[in-house]
Amino acid sequence: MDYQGFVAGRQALWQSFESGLAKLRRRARSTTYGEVEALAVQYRQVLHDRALAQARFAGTGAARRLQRLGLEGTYLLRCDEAGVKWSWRRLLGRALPSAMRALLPRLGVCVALFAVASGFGLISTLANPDSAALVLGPARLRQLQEGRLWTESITSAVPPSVTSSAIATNNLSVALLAWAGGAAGGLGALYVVLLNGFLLGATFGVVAHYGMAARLGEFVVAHGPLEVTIILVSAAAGLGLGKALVVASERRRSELVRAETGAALGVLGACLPWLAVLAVVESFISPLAGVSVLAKVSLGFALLALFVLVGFRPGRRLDA
Amino acid sequence: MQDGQPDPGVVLGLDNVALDLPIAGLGNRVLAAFIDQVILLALSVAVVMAGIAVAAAIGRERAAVIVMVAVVLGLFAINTGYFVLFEVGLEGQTPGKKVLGLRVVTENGGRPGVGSLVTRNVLRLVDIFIGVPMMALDARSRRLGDRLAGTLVVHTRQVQQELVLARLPAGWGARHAALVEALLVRAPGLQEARAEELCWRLLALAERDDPEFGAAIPRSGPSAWRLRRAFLGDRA
Repeated sequence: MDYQGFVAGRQALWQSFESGLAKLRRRARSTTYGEVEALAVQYRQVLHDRALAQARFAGTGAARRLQRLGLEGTYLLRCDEAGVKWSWRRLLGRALPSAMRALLPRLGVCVALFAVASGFGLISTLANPDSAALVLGPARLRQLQEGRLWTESITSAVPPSVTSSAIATNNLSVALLAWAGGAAGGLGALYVVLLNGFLLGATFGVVAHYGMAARLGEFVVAHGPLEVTIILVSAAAGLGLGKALVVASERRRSELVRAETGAALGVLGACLPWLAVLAVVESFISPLAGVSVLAKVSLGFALLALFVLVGFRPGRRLDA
Repeated sequence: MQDGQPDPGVVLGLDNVALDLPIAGLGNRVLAAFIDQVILLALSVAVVMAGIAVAAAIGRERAAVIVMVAVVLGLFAINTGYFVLFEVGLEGQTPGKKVLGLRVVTENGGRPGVGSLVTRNVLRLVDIFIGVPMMALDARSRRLGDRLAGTLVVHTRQVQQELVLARLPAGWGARHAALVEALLVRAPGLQEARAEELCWRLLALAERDDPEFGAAIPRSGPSAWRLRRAFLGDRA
């Protein structure tokens, strides 16, 4: 077949395919199944023409046009991700508990590391109170020396509603960083766990030195247990990402990472509403002096129990 | 393909037909990101200014607090959602990518799903530090987010204009066709005298090789125009 004959014989098909793609791009929702099926058949013919043009008519306008049509067709007609229909019922009923349960071993590692780092921070500052300025900064240290906790001014300087939105966005950023940090072979996730653990322990150590640990405990108990748990859950998901990148297995790393990422995004998405609830608690309830310690403790552990119940409840496996 | 290794820019379509993906390089991607950051900054400033203006107009303290909350949440939403929302909504393009003619596709050239687009953009947090060196070292210019999400960034604009000849003199093959097509595309950018000379020589060759074809070539007018009429026919 010569070039002229090739173009004359096939150009109508290319034109029809190009028009079909343009229609699909403009009105994807109104495109019928039959039209998509016809496009798929034409796509295959265009790819075969592309192969022929590349072999026999390389460098010609027809070869370039077929290359473009092939790429556009691939973009619009090829879907590499399995299309599982998304629904709240599926997410909360199966996907989330399944992903959370898969995190349990790594969550155990994170809890242990967090506990060790907290203990280290606590002992470090109790043993060396002069290091307090490094942990809290001079301004907060001055407040402690004056017998005041910085938490008391959290909602007095700015309205609680503003504080809560700032806290929610900050918590979310930390949770995202804990997960995304897993992309550095898990080191970023470990860094977030160890740093937060150390800071919590060190802060309590400093505050205890000034005799105000009970007041700080009263402040954090309503929101702290769940906040720390969510950060640890995010870090555990980050460790999964790191493991997929570092540990060799029969599957390709990119496949493992995509599987980990899909599960982790569900977990992070499910943590979002909880972070918003925590921000409200931290701004409106935690600083309130009129609420009893028992009520704050009950609230803190009730929130944690609810999170565990919703997130980790037993059920069918996702792949069952 | 070199040394048995597949070309990094080649993907296999149906029936293993090879397609060349025009992969975007580091420079284009950094420039697109810069444009997006400028837009992000402008949006953030606009949100803050609008918040201040609304709060000042309302005057009441309670309403001002609500406006401040909206500003804080708005800034967070803009900064975390900008890339994801645009790439999901604009077929793999942010405004910066659209300006430079870039698009996010899967490693097979297909349309990425929402999960892939979210993944590559959440990982911007890490790519701020390592993205540029990773792109510089990778043959397909992938940053970490691209690697983990299985995506590539490609050019959507054609480097060379397509022009498909309608007819050829007898005995002319693909090499001659490519030559004529290239000249017709490039002629407007050449010096007029040079373009005229090249077109005239090609027309003379066509007349010599196929007198019947030569008889259909217009006798008068600029050579470039005659060349177009002769090879493109009514589409000239």
